[in-house]
Amino acid sequence: MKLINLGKFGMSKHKNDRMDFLSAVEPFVDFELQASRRMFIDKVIVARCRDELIERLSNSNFQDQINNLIEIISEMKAEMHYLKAAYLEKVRYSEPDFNIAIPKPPETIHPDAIDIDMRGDITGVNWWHTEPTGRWAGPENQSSIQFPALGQGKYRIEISVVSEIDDGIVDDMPVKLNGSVLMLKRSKNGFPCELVGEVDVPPTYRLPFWSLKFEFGKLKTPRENGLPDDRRLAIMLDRIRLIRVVV
Amino acid sequence: MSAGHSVTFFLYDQEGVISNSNAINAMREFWSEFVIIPHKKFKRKKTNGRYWGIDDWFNEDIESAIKFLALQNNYDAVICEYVFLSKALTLFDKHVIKILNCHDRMSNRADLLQRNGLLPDFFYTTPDQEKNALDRADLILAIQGDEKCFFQSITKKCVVELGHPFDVDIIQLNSGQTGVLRVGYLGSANSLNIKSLEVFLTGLWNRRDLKEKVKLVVAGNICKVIDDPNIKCLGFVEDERNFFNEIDLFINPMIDGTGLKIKTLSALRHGFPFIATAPASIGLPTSTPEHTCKSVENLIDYLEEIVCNPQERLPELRNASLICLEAYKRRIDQQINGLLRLLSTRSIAHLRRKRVLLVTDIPFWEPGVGSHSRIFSLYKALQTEFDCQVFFYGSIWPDRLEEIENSGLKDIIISYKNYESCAINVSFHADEVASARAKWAYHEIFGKSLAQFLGEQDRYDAVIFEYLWLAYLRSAIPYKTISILDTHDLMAPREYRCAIQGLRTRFSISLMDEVAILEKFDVIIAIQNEEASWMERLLPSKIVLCCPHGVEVENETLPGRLKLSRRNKHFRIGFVGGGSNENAEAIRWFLREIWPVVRQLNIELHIYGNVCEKLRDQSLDSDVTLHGLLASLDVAYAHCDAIINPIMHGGGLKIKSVEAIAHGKPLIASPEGAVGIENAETSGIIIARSRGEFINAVLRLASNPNECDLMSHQAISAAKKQFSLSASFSPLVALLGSL
Repeated sequence: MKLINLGKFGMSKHKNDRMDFLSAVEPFVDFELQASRRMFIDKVIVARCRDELIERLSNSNFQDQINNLIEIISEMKAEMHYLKAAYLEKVRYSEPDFNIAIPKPPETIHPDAIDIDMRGDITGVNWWHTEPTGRWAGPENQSSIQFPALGQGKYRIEISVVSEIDDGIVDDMPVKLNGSVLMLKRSKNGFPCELVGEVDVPPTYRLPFWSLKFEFGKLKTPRENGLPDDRRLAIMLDRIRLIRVVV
Repeated sequence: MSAGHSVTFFLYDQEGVISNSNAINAMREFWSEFVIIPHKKFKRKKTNGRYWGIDDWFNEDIESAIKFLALQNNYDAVICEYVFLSKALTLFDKHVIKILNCHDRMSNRADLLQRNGLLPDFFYTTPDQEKNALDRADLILAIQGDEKCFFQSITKKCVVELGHPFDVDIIQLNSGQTGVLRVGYLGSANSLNIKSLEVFLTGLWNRRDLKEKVKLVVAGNICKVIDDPNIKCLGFVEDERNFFNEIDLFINPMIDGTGLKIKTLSALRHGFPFIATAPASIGLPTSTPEHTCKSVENLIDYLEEIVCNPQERLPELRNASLICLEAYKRRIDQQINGLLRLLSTRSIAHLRRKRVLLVTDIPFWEPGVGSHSRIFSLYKALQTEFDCQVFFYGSIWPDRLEEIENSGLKDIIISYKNYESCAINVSFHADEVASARAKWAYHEIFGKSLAQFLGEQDRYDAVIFEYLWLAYLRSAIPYKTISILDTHDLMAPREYRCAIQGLRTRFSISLMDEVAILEKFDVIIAIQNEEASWMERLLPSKIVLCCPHGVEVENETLPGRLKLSRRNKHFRIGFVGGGSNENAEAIRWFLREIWPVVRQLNIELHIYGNVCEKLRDQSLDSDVTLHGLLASLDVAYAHCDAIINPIMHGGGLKIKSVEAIAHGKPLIASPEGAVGIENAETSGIIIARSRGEFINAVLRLASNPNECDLMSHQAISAAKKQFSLSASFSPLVALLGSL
């Protein structure tokens, strides 16, 4: 076999020369096999139909030939009718679905009580990390807690205070619910103690959250009392509870 | 001092008090510690063109004295009087709270004086220089509300109002039986006082009848420049009461000025009847017309009225003074309490504006639709009440910086690129579900750079993340603060709606995973009521706020733009859309099914936004125009008579629909296109549920301008009620305010 030099695709006679040659040449040759195949099949079908018709018509008399032709034409018309109907069905306009049904949300339910564990995950600002006994407020002079709104009405509020960093912070501390100062009574002197009061939230309050704010007149670090802790603290809370008062 | 604090009073003696031993002794007795440094006379030089540089009045001798004092005492706080001594604040340690008491606004003070024909005196500077002074303080005291607003506009530092405190000393009204009304004025001999009195006297002497019924009594150093036998001059009075006992009515005809007018306060603290121009009453809680005269002439008109009927008018004015006094006193008490609380706790949390950070990867100040305008509206709503900054995931190049500055966002937008290089070794562990569901949006360096940035800044009270795909960045917050996710849409239901139509969404997530991500945040923002209700049920322990898209609503009753667009003989309908598949699908359907019918009339279709890019390869009629993305959509809305929104699926709220009605444009929308708009049928919207209804609606509006007008009115009124900036974001503003 003659060696063909195709640049870097040089071939050795020790290899399968024919396959290598085809694989090298193929990308440069336009094999239009599909078109040739279609043309061939068309020719075969046309030839077959012609042969069938010749066979049906050749051995009959003139009247039979006419009848046969009428039948053939009728079959063709029926076939065209079905094809047309199928095509029209395919392109017929249909309205887009403008009203995709999504289930409606159920009514929002406002609970009658809420219990906020200050050792847990809370929503609010100016609180130190949680501790086993509660959570300290600081380092700034006001702390707040926000929670989803309860329904309107009268509530009893209980705030469990574990401790304060300096005397008098709790007693001089305004506590506001939704911006209004609460009248709270201290359950006992010393700590732990509870601050208890009642609050009436009117129907005019429409926001989807309630906010409890504590304002401090003093802040202190434990280091000022000789302890190795530089956090600026105010009070430590254990939990806050609001319960609807049944009238 | 009455609150128990020990105060060192450091006096740089510019007024030569040192020669008055009585005054020195009195101060030494009053203050816990009193230090006086004689004023070293030397010729001051302006270093800022024709204005004073902020430190031009600060001499080296003050610096060494203060440094010595700061070393000797462990001060908790330092209060500096006047901005031109503010350099003193820089001489104290960072643990000392630095308070700057401004007295007056010094920026543009020279212009104010020149405007009134006076030569600038005392200290006057530029806003840039004054800002340098303010930035040295932790807390800035402005003497009245207008100046507080001005200072807030040039500094990010905490500014509070602290008026002039005084002891109330009510003086009984004089009997007024002399036959003439005794009108008093009290003032020093500064140029503005002299000019104001001149203007008043010129006006008064021009009214002959009035001149005879009024006796003018003047006290203070201004007497030195008065040479008029008709005026009774008392000169400097030791006790103000002696002056007020001589008069029936006090006047302050100040023609202009800044700060708070102490002489008006003198009348107020005695509960004395007074009439004053508006500049003379700046900072007082009064709306009494006699206290806020529009001009000196107007003040003289009132004087004429009072002269005619003093028996009735003087007690009325006395009553107005007492009401104003009560309100002023209450306000001052509150302000003083706030300051004392700061000193006792060394915390300014109760005084400062809340700090809010917005985290986004969308350059919302650039032209765009939907999310761009949503975030910009949110920013605008926040910045009026809070110190708001934006941490932006994108680069900033010169052109972009120019756009940022033009949008008023200079120093507000912070690129993560500024923190990228130093954040490489910062530890960041993203929430697994959030990062797994948005792999295409997850970049570890995003989290690291945010952590680095937050670590370097003062604490933010709240951090708002834009869109669910940035939710994984929540883990970058290094301290306890309020984390808020602005969802724009609930993604799982959105995917469901699209899937029914055989469309894929960019963000694929199950409802369970979406809830798991939302659960990590303190607060979730929904864009419309229905989604808010779902979130409340799915996340009962979380705060869910419904904040629809906020827009600035057209103010005209019948928008001029509507009239303008109608001058054209063609009826113009518009479609605005971003480049999403949903938008492309919707407008293609309209072009295929509706347009061939309605184009027979004189109708033009104008398409705006990135959706145009998806239509470029389509052959379109000459009456269909693709405008692409515009710098401002106002132009688009002004150009059209009606807007269409044939969107078939999606979720959330369709911002383009909200903007259309806010611009007073009748809207033809599919049911999905009007989702989230309450009472759509009476909000300037025609809901079309089929091809036939869309065709009918277009033809109806094209042939019925009166109906367009009616719908335009309805649209504006609905937009104002449901989507004005204040209404839309009020729950969020209230929540941040409650922190």
